[in-house]
Amino acid sequence: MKKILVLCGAVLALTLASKAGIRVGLFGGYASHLESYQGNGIAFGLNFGLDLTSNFALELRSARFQSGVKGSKTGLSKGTLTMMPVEICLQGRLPVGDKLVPYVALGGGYGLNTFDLDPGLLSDWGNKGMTIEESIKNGLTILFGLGVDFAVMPGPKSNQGLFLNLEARYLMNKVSGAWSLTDTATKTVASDTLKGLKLDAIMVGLGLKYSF
Amino acid sequence: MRNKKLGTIFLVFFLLGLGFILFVPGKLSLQENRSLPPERIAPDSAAPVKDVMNPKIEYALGKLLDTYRTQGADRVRDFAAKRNIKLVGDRVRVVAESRYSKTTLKMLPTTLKIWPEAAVLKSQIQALGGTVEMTYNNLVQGWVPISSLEMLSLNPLVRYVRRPLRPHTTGIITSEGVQATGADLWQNLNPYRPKGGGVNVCILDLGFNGYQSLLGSELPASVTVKSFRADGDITGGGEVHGTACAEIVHDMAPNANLWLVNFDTDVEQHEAVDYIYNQGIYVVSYSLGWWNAGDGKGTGPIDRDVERAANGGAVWVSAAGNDALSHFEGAFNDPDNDQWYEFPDGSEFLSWWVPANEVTGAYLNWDDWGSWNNVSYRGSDQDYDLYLYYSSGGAWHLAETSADPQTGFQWPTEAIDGFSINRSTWWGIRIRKANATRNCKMEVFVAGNSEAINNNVPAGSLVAPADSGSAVAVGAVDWSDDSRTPYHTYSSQGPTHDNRIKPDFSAPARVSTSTYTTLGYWFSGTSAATPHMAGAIALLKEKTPYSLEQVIKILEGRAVDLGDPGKDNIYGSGRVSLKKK
Repeated sequence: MKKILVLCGAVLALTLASKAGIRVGLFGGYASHLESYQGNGIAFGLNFGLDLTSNFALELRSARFQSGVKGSKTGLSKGTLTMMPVEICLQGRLPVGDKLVPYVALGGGYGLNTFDLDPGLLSDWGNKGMTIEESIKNGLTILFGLGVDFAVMPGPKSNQGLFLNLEARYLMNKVSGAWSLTDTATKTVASDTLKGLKLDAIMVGLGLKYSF
Repeated sequence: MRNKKLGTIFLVFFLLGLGFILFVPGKLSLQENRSLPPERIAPDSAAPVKDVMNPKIEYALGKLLDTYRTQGADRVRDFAAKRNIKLVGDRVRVVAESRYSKTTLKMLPTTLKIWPEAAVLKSQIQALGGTVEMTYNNLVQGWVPISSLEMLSLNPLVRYVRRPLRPHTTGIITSEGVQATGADLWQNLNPYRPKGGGVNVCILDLGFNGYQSLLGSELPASVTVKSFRADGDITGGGEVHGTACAEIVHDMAPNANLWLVNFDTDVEQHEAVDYIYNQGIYVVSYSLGWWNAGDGKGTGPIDRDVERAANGGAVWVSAAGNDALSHFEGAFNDPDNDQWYEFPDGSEFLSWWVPANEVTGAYLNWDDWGSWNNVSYRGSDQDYDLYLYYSSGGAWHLAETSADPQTGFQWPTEAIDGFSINRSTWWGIRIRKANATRNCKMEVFVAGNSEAINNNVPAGSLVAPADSGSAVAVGAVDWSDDSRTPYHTYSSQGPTHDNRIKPDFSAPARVSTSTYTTLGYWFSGTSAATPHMAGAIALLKEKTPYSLEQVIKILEGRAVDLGDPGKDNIYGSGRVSLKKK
């Protein structure tokens, strides 16, 4: 969290110190994990951007998405995976005409992850006198993205106004975790770590940005 | 006139009475008194004389040889049939034990251990006109001409020539135990991080007759089958006991992979365990037991097999035995110094009632086994003999003697089995101190008794290998209701002879199986209890990531405590249960 606050603070300070354009936006979309058992889910988030030059911009963004994990013998069990990556990325922007700005993005950040076991699964094992616990850690993320901003209400300058944004991004997030099964009567525990757990996802989103 | 009439009536009644006595003797004079065994010995049985026998040949084989030499081949067959000795033509099935000077050859990358004497013995048996079925370490199992027994024993490499040891089944009867143990609650549960593939369970038994017809219904669609009998007969000569046990394991743990492995003798069992060791077996379900196969302290060749299986990563679930009512033990006691054991009730006979045509016998061992070196015991120099009697006409008649001379290397055991007569009567044994310097502790197991033997001592009635520290020993309880007295009185009790609490668990018996129900029986005994326990272990192993040790610990915690609080020598930790506690 501390890292995220530092990151946000740095970008905000940079933005306020700059005379360049500032962008704020929100988006919604759909995220799909590359490990099929981890499922898919609706994603939404906010972004805050700063035009460094006419071809480069810096963007701070955060998204949140949830997916229903089907369960795996070696990965996560059945449950709900919630990811909230907070990232900063550099955009290379290539305006085409007055309204269209395609861009590529490369960046990284920190993923806040939580995993909740399926209540039915907990109940099944609870009825057998056993408790299951699973957790995953937060971890660094890397992202690649492709997108396009389309000016729906152009402003006085070419990079100002209201933009419709379409973006696809690939998010890499490798974390570790842990699981345990405990017999409540005898306190007998079987446990292990989940190493190298890949939570990679592709996210496709549609958003609105206001640039001033 | 009146006197003549009375005289005629008297004469008629006298003649009728005499005729009844003469022509229906069994109904009156020979009818045995069931309430009490006889107190006198028939004149011809008063002082049995011990024969002088070759100490390197088991007593029964020595008598067979003697019969062969003195009475001819026909009488040999009668004698062999009576004493349960296997013959084919004039050849007898034996195990020759070589002296155990194990040689270790260090051959990289492995170390080869060989018993050179056993290889020589194999050649000698063949030279004597015999055939060798198999060898295991210092044991050579084969068929030897009766006439060559003496010659074989004279070989200095031979330690002892004996009949193959054979286990006995520990019960007859199917399974309400699934619900009683709560296994049904677990069967449809998705496994949580199970380790490895499926759970492999081996049912090690005497025979699996009829298993094919149950595949895909009472048994999994496919099973692995392996026979270690010399004749390769997986049915074990028509034995269904193993099939019923496999049914229960499948009832309890439907996804377990089953290995059906059978054998007939001690040597074949050792081979079977070598095989099991290499098959990735998690659980061995063993509803068999052995008398006179060890000191009751967890050592001996049969217990050693349990340890070897455990070293291979398997847990061996072993029937405690059905011998609580047919067991006696006590220190040799002879107040009148006549060399005959006087039992606690003051009689020199240990007696029991046997229904007509029931096969009976007795197995005696005493606490002079000597040290155990992982191959055999040092042996006994305390010589005791066993005499078997039956009651007829109110007197004891000698049926057979077992008088192995314990001269230092033989096991402290005597056994007589395979007797029956066509009417219900008392049978009894006497124990004679033949040549012993101390009063050893006697242990007797009786076969064929319909109720508790006189002087019955249920404590310590475990059979081998249930006494092994590596075995999970299982006693029998009724499946139906824990609130009533669930103990099945036949179920063998602990402690072991080194005072460890056994059995470890108890499990449901008197249940239904397809195999026995079609024959009109329940499946009862610790034979039925054992596969319930094995199945419970397999089911928990299949559904969870726990190690076998953890599975056992969890089952101990969930067991329904019966009898004295805590683990006890009747119920162990209690009746096995998978239910939440």
